[in-house]
Amino acid sequence: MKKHLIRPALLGVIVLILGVAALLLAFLVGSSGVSLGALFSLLGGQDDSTASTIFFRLRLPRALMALSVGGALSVSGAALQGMFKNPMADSYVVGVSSGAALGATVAMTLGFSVSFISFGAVTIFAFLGGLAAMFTVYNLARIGGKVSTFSLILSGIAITSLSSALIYCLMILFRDKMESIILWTMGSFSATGWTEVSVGLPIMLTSSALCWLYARDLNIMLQGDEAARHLGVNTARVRRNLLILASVASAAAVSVSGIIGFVGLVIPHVVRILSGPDHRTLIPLSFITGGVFLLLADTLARNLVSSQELPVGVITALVGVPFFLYLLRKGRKTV
Amino acid sequence: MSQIDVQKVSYSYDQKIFAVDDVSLTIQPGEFFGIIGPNGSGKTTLLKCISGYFKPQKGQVLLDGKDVQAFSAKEIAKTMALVQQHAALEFDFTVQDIVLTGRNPHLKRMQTESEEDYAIARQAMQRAEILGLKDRMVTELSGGEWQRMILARALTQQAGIMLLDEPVAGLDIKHQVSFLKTARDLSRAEHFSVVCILHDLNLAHQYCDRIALLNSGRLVSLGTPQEVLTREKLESVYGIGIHLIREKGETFILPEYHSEI
Repeated sequence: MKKHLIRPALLGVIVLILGVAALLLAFLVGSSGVSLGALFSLLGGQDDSTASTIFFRLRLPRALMALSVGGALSVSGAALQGMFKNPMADSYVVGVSSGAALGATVAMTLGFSVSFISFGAVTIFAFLGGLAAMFTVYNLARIGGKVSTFSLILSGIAITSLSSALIYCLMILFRDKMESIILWTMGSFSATGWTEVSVGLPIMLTSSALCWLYARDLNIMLQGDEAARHLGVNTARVRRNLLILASVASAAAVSVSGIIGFVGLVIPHVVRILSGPDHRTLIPLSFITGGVFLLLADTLARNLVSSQELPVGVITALVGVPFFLYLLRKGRKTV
Repeated sequence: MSQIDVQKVSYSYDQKIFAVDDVSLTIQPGEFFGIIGPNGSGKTTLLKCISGYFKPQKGQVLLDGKDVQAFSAKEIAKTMALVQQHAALEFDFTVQDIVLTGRNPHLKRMQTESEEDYAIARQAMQRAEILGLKDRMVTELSGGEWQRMILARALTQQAGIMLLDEPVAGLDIKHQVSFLKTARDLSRAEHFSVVCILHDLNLAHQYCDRIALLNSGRLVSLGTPQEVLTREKLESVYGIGIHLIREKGETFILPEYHSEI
């Protein structure tokens, strides 16, 4: 009789404690340090103008954004993997990420200056590009009113390849924008301010929470479509709704942070290996685990090399891959 | 307790050849009804028309007078439970987790299973004789145990009809017999109807109240096992010599191994 490594509730507590530590770390550490005392006096309402600016204008919105982007990407990955019964599924596979990248590239090459607009064309184009790619994929895969998982994943890969080709085209045509496009596609929170947080956070939280509503349906759909139908699940409707919700969550995440690979694919697997495949616990645990992981990764990205930020996507892969491979060896199968 | 009326149902995958061709039959409440026929004769297609998974191009299927196509997924699940051919899936749920999913049609979204739901699942596992495996991971079950788990899941739905699609394919003879015996005894005790696709003619003879024999999508014969499983009918449908051997009051159906095909 094999049980999972940790009970879901215990994993939740551990991740939440880690989360508090990660938040403190994110607030305190940086190119200009904020002391613990200064942080508490700030939270107590006393104003120290330098520390206050760093905390409220830079680190707090950035930390909130990292948390919710990590959460939204992970929930989106968990939902897509569950509904397609495919361990490789994430927002890349249904075309959302590359569609968003294409949208962002178009916005940049149309002549909007990236540094000039903190929230605007690039973010909006990326969000719409992600959703447009998903709708294209969905409609390509829909034959006679039915959407097969197989054709959906293949269409997603096709649209992803097409988007990448178009991005490369645009990069060659607009060589002066090449660096900003490349940096954007590697993902970063360096441009995060309250504008992004106030729009992005509610979208990511709501769509992730709505995915959770389908947790039991996802458990049942693992047993096959025809079986699921006889267990009271309208599989076509659930799949369509979840695809929209997961795409909105990941498109919002990508549009405010660029493409941060690895999180959406791997965090759900880590949670499954640790505490089991039940989506009722998998989805919320993926959200907090993904959020805390990305917050830690971003703090590292800010501080690992002095005087320069590394793309956070590089950190997620460098730190996350060895840990994931270790878990994969230790805890046999997933999905 | 539901009556199934299949009325002049035809279904075609390609608009040319009908996989099910003008089939009409009525299945009474509480009946153990078998569907037999060669490969490709339309057994599974007919079952999918009955379950509403396929919409027939002609005719209709009525459950207690209501067109099955008008049922929502929840109504389907409250009326008809499905046990498919054994196909183990790789996911780390316990037997109880899977059996409890049979309560889904009775629950609202986000509503968690109550004590009563657990009790119903427990009772179903007891009846399907797998209560001892309740906390076992499904990845560790044998084929026979898996099918009993799916039977328990079906019982947990408390539906009036149970559809069995080759439920004993791939099981050894002991598990074939014990699964079908359990299913039939339960249908008698709890008064649900069973529609069961079988390949094994002896099992069909043994457990079914009535049998439909299909060939090329058409209903060739309908009646009791004695009426349907005759040498003439089986030889003409399967195209092979058939022996009917009677011994100790039982009938055994065997192919003529060296007949000209």
